[in-house]
Amino acid sequence: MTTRQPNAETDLLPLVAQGDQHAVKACLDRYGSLVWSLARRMCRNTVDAEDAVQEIFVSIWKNADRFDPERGSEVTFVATIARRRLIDRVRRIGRRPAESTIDTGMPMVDTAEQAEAPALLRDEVAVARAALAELNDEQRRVLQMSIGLGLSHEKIAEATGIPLGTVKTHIRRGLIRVRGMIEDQRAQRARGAEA
Amino acid sequence: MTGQGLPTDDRLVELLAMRAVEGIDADALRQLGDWADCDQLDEAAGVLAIGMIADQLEPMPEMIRANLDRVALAYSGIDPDAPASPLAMPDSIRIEPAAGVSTRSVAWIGAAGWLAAAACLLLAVLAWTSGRTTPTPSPAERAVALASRPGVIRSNWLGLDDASLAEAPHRFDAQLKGEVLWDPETNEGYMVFEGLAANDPTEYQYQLWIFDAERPTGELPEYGDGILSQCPVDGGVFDAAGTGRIVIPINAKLPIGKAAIFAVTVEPPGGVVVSKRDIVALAMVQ
Repeated sequence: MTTRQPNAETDLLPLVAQGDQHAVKACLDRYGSLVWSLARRMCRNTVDAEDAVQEIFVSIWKNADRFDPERGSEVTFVATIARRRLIDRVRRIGRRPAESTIDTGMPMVDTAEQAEAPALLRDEVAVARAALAELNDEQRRVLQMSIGLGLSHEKIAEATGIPLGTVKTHIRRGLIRVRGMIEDQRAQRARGAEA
Repeated sequence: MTGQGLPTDDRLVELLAMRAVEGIDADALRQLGDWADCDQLDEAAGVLAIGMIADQLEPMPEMIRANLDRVALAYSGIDPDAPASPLAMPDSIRIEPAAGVSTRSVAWIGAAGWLAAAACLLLAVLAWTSGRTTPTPSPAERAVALASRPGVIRSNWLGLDDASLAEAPHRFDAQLKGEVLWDPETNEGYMVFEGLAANDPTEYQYQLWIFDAERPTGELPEYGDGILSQCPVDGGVFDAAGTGRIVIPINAKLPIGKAAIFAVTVEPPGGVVVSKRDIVALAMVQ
């Protein structure tokens, strides 16, 4: 393990992959709030969320050498690993079972709300908001219910009356659209770096 | 993250999308084949999740952050408590392994001193107990011991003529008797039955559900299908070998804050995540 102090402006994961112990801990400073907030939303209770956060950070450190700054941002890499671990965990431990009572007035993310995002997340938030703004109301609502609230495809169909196949299509197309915007953002960055 | 595009096969794209938002099973993962490494839609879902949560970030609680610092040290090969004794081993380093990955073992890197000392302690305990012949208490004996503890809740299974069941869908056995014993402090409990029909585990099993008065408020987050309704905690699947008196340990899958109702349902072998509420026994905590 080396002891070089990481710069706050640099990516941490390449340093983690090199065995920098300060970078290992700095990941907690930089991404702790994001990972904790994701875990709190997806886990059943604080104890479960704490276990999940530990599992996520160990996974991030172990996979640090897979992070390629040319391909995407570190925060996206972290969020992707966090969500995958959390989804695995939800499947392993089980979702909280649901009954048939559907509250169609459930709280939704207000895309009109344009509060300033934390600097660390600004690019990702901009892409997410731009992508959601391009979708029609039904598509946006389905994506928010799936990713924001964690509802299964079946429950979304049940809650909204939208056919299950259409729910799947909305989610698939929404994700593909966001992926396209991420690619565009990367291309812009690459051009900016070349200029 | 992989640099490949998306598959041209719509079915594979649908599986990747499904994996990104709610996960897929092993069979679906096999169907993805080489595309299993494609995480572009996972990234997209991650970006959307960031967009949806950015305005609601919560700081990590100090205690949890302190525990994570210790995990970070252990990961870096530094004993976070050196030269601590094995009894000072932190509870917080208890990472559940992800599929195929033993994260717990990673967290223990550098804890060789602890492990050696713990091994010595274990050997000492084994040596001390090797000459003993004390048998493991049966569930019935443990239930009796539990019943003597202060604060333990005891609730009888309700009878068919109980007014509180007048509107409930059920198929109670009129002959069923017994009670639930539950220690709210330790979350240890037992079900005592007399007259519960013997089941063939290959056809159906019994499953206990515990309704916690502190859920879904309390600290439960607003995420997942469970937000749509009040939901009980799985208390374990069990069998009845005969209609005589049987004692079944309760195996709550989550901590119970305030047990309100214990319900036993008939379920397919192995139990279920979502019950159809085919209730055969019900006990309400007064």
